[in-house]
Amino acid sequence: MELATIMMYGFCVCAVAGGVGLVISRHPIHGAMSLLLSMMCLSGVYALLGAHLIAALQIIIYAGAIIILVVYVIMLLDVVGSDSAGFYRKAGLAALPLLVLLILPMADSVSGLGEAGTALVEGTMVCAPGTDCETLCGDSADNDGDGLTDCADPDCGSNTLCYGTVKAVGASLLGRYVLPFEISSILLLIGIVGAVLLTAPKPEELERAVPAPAVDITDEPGEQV
Amino acid sequence: MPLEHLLIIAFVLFATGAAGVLARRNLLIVMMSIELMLNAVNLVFIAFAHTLADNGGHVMVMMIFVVAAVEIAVGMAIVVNMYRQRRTIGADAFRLMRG
Repeated sequence: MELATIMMYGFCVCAVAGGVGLVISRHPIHGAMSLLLSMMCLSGVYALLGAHLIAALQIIIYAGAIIILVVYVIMLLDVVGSDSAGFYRKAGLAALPLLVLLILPMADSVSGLGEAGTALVEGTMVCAPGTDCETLCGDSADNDGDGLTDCADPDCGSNTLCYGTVKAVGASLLGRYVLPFEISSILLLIGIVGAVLLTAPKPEELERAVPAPAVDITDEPGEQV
Repeated sequence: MPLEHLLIIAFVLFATGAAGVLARRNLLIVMMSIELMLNAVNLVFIAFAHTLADNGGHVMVMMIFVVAAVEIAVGMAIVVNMYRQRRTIGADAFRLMRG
């Protein structure tokens, strides 16, 4: 067995172990660390599947932003012992066997899909008959004269030189998928407004709050307030 | 590695996340389980993108990153707000919207 395959299975087992650790953890901070392990292992899987940009983004966004936010909230709220009514909900536990019933037919239906990565093209790209396309994806030249060179040309998206790189994914993102890209920016804006709106103190709370002691902000020495 | 193994791993991850959402009482754990389910979906996208040699799956994963970030930001705001009012983050304490 190849080293990459062994690593892939290792990462997969590790990711599942992290997920199970999250669900059975007693304290939320242990859950956050288990989730972090799971994210990191999935990032390794993505890198082995050729999705290098996504692997990097996974670590930056999930480990660098989302887990940090969760850990902040865990530290902000004093959550130790707040689970006093028990860690698990009885009704939810009763529903778990149904999950197995849901997953088994799904797992059964995916057999025989073949090996991953066989559609990737190595070397020269083959154009559809009667059309021009970027044939050589690594020669720094514009082969088909459409103004897009190498990986920036969508024709090269499935070439092994380009697949999953920043250039190729960026070309898809700002070309064919530009509408979802714009919609996601609106979604981010809504998220910012919503988060601020939900956590900002209400006007009457601000009035009730004790005013901060006056501080002299001038630079003149000697005069203390 | 066969595609089906990756998909089964994704199913298992999704089921684990769903179990966390269903069975855990702590709202923070529930939020993190939702993130785990989103990650399982990401894995399916990347596996199929690799099999079909199409960068579109990567773009979709970036969309899911955005959705996950927005979801956790708004969700954490709600959790903090509820904690201020109720002094607990147990899921059963939040029955304000129950009919």
